Amino acid sequence: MKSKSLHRQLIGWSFLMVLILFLASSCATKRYWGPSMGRSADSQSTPANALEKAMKAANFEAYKGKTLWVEVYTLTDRTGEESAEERFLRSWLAEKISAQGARMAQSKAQADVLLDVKARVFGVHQTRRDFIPLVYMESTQGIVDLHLTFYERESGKILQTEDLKGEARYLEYYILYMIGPFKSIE
Amino acid sequence: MGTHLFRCRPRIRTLLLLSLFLLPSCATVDYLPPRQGTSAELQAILAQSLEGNLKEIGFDPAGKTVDIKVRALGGHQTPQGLEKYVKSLLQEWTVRKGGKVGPGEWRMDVFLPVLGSSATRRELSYQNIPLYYSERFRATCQLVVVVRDGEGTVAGIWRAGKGGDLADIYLMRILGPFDKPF
Repeated sequence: MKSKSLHRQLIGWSFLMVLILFLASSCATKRYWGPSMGRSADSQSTPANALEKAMKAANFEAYKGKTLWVEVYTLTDRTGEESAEERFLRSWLAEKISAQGARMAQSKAQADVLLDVKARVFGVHQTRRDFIPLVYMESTQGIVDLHLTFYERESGKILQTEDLKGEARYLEYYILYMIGPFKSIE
Repeated sequence: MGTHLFRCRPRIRTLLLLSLFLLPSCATVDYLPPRQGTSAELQAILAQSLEGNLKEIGFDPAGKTVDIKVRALGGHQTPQGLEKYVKSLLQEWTVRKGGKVGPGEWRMDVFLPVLGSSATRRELSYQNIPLYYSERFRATCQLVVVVRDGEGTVAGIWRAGKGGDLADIYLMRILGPFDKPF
């Protein structure tokens, strides 16, 4: 009777040990080998999604048939005169404006309307969270906050101002540092 | 069964406790985020402090044509982007107040000797598990505006130094962030 109980206890302990060995020693961590990987895919996709959301509210119908000149200003890093974000935003906006019936001017002097876009925010905010060893998460939040000012080129007067905001979140999480990644996009 | 389970030999119990203690630790290099440029939070706090400082300028540009020049020292790789951003802010500010921007009688020299941020990280941790962890961003902005009339006489000098402050607080690296603007 006593040996049966001891046997059962040993099996219980062995099972527990194997379970701990299997689950607790696993380790999944998202890695980045810089600088050759450049800007990560998460850091590119989330602001692009946030921009898409922000642009849903944009309406350029009032400028149908007119020519616009777009200037973009951001607080982002740069090595030259124009940052990658500025170039991307300018082209994206030009596309949206053209789709709604307005035309892009060849030069500033040829434009009817000057559109100044100040990007208060165009970037990402990344957070790592872990609760060792149960959960490990990488959250990338893309944030876009644009302030648009439309000027009449000749008079220099403000025709319209508009604020466009958008946020997108990409979450990747691992359970027990082993199972995953589970992905969610908001 | 439950009580039997803990009535084992001290050696096994020690071994089990040791494995519980050692195995959950994860010896990997911390995730090094890829080059993301200026973070979204940092941009937001800098933009806010710049807009806040514009309110301190006492010059009334109504009916005047103002030539705006901006010079920044800046913490950016090149200050050109920052200078253009600030010039665009001032252009909108001038036009809103009834003025015009361009070569004219009035000249506005804007200096940004300081526009930067500092971050403070605090954590109270046990075995690499932070019980409390916070990141506090502080933006410092100094704006000097010198306005001259057509003859070059200084019509006014304004200094503004409003900063920004933002803190993210996490509990056990899993709960949060709890934003705490100061």
